[in-house]
Amino acid sequence: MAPVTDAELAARAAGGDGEAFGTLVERHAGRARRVARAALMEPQDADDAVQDALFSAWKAIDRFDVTRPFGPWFLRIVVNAAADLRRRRSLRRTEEVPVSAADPGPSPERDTDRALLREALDKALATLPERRRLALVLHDAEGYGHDEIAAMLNAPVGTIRSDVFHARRAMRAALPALGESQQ
Amino acid sequence: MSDTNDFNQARDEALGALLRNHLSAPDDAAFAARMRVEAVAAARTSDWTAVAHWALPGLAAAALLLAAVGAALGRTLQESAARTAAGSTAGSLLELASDSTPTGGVALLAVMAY
Repeated sequence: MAPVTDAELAARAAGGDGEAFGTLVERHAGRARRVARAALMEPQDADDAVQDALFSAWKAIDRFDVTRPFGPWFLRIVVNAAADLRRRRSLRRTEEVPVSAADPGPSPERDTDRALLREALDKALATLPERRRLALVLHDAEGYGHDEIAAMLNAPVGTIRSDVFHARRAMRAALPALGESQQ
Repeated sequence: MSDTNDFNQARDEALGALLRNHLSAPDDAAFAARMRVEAVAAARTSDWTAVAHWALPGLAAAALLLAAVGAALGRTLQESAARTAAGSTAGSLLELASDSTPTGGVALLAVMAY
């Protein structure tokens, strides 16, 4: 039996089927978590943002256009939830905490090249403005087109194109060794 | 990572894989399963919230109706009890008034006053 498509699940969810909505959320949770992490650079906050987003998504599901893909619609809500969470917590946090630095753990991996690469990536990502970071992750890591990202981030397509360009450039400058090995 | 396609739609696959791996966590599958449970619970909760939203005015109206019916019933019972009491008092006074003693005379006056 063919798996149920996102469109079928979204139509059922829009009709009030909570189980269908749950299946959709499960399918998109990993991607949503990565995008929230890219936005907030803090794992626990990112998870909270995804959770906030799923509540918002359920409240708005009856307004979802079932002829359109669910993923970008849900990610837009995740991005907004992350922005809301950042605003709410800005009073108690003045600096971003890098993704892996928040929970480094007592692992011997910290001395390896892999750990160094993680740290370098954290630092490089943290230097990017949030929209630029999100544009890069949504384009290169998640595979969305510039126009889809523009809709998600509520910015002109040309701006997103430029964001991806500048973000890649910054990443290459911050990770020269990686750039050489990939070319 | 190449400069040539930076303004094109093409993805930088190498950088993309690196970022995807960097932003992923070992417990992603467990997280997704947890979010599914949360999503289904959110849907159920909002169903009950909607029911409560619609039921609240109905319950308030039912409570008002019950209070009105109760008050009317109470008034009717009170009136009926008063009528019964008045009837038995008048009967007793009539019996006394039929006596030719001074007490009977007082009772007769009381019946007339009643």
